[in-house]
Amino acid sequence: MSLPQTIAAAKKSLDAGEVSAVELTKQALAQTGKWEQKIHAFVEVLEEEVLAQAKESDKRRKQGRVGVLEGIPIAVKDNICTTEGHTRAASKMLENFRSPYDATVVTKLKKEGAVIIGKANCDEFAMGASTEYSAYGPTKNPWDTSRVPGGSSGGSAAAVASGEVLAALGTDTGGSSRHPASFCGVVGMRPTYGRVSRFGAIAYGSSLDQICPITRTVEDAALMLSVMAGQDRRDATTSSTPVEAYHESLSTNMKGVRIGVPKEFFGEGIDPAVATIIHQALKTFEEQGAVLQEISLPLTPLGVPVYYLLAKAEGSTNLARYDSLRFGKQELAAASLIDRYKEARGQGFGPEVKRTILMGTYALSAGYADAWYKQAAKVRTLIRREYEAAFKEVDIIAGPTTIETAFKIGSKTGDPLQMYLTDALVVLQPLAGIPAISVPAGFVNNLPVGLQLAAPHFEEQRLFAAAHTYEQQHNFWQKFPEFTAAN
Amino acid sequence: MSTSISKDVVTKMADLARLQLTNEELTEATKNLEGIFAHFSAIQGIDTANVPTSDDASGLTNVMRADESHSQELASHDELLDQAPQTKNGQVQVKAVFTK
Repeated sequence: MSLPQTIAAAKKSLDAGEVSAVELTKQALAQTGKWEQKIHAFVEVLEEEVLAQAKESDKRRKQGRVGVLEGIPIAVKDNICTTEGHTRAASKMLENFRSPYDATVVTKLKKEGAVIIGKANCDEFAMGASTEYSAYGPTKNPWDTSRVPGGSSGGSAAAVASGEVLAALGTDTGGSSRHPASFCGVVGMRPTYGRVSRFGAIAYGSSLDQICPITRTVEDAALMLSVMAGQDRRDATTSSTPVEAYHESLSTNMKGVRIGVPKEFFGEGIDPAVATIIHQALKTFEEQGAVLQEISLPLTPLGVPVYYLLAKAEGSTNLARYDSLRFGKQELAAASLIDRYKEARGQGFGPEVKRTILMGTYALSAGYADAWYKQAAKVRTLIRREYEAAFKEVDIIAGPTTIETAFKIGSKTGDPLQMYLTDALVVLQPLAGIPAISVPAGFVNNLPVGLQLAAPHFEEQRLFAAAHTYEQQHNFWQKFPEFTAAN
Repeated sequence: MSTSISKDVVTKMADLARLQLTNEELTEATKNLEGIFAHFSAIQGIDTANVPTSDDASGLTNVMRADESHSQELASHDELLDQAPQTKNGQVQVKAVFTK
């Protein structure tokens, strides 16, 4: 018997007694064993720990205690704290770090019975758009292993795409869950800022970071978010807005739903083949009675500059804590304290993290802060206003998730600006603080393309319902990458 | 506006951020940052007079919370100490900050 394709299907099999949590976990481990040599989606597979957790899950089920995710194997991105295994954020700086506590989302998922199969690879400290900046080697795209899986949650997306796991946790500061979801042909959902607790997620850009579900279907993402979301005393930015059972009301009537299509999303830089697929997807909505409306979001081209200035400024500040005293290498040549800081950070951080520190320090430093950091924070306000105004006219904003399909490994690492520009359409929603989802919309040369939908603050339900309705019209999510000797 | 990125500026930033760079890294970073900030200078042309900065993304306001201890909730003293690279007498041991 092969692994069920979705959480929903696995739940049915588990409930019917057709499969146990241990059997399901063993199937996932077998699939992982097969794919890992090709794609390296995991920094660490926790075989022993996950089997022990699965045994406990089966015990609970026998006692009638069945959580919403009882016995479901999931992957957790390496920048999210788990008491099992290491939490390295794919950095050498945290090579030996084991978290003494679970992130709030991990606690919530475990409480509902999920079992953790391992830590998914990512760009170091989630800084990157290709997972090539992991200090533990790149993850490869299961659709074409000469290509990147996107990033920074590339391991999470690749693990779901290849069928190693049924779901994974990613994080999204400026697209890090939706971008790889688009490149790998899976669902990536970024909640409203404040919807999910960031406690236990290693900070990158604190005004932007969110933890996200990455799944095969919209229904699974909705189920995951209904478990993950909610106010948390340990994260003061979490909202008290009530959490809905998002997965329970996915059917919707698209008749009269106004879908805004920003013309700037199809502007310079977009691959015409990707644009064609997205226009086809939008037609599907129209056929169901939705009203497509061309809109203009003129600040779209400023998304990358504003996002990167703010994210790198916040990132450089958050990285100040890695000083060799509490984390990092202790065997250093330098004698003075300051030189030890410098040496430990010089050796412990990789290229994109160093760039974050330099860019952020520059954007925040005396003489430059007004022109860069403050100006970016003001333009962010304007971008937010632009979205607020747009949502007075339309219910949903739709377009491509990425401007292109998965690119070749090594093709952008030499030119960081080109790497940043691949995020052009996924940095805007975090700046506005709104929820967005990427769903598979088809293929160009056998490489997945993602359709992105965004909604106003805390309108996750609207987003899930529309995405689910779209997903019902085709079977892209049922298509798995082939495992061949050649790839 | 000019981005004013030069080797001297990058060296100063690295020093402020306590980051050691090799000569190759310094050259590479200067080149990359020049290109990146030249592209980012597009934001300079936007009129932001009377526009506030968006420091907060959540729209939440500060609230007072009961003064309760939650010290043992997540991890014990020993578990936390266990994370430190070096410990001595139940404390984290670090390199001396002050020298005689």
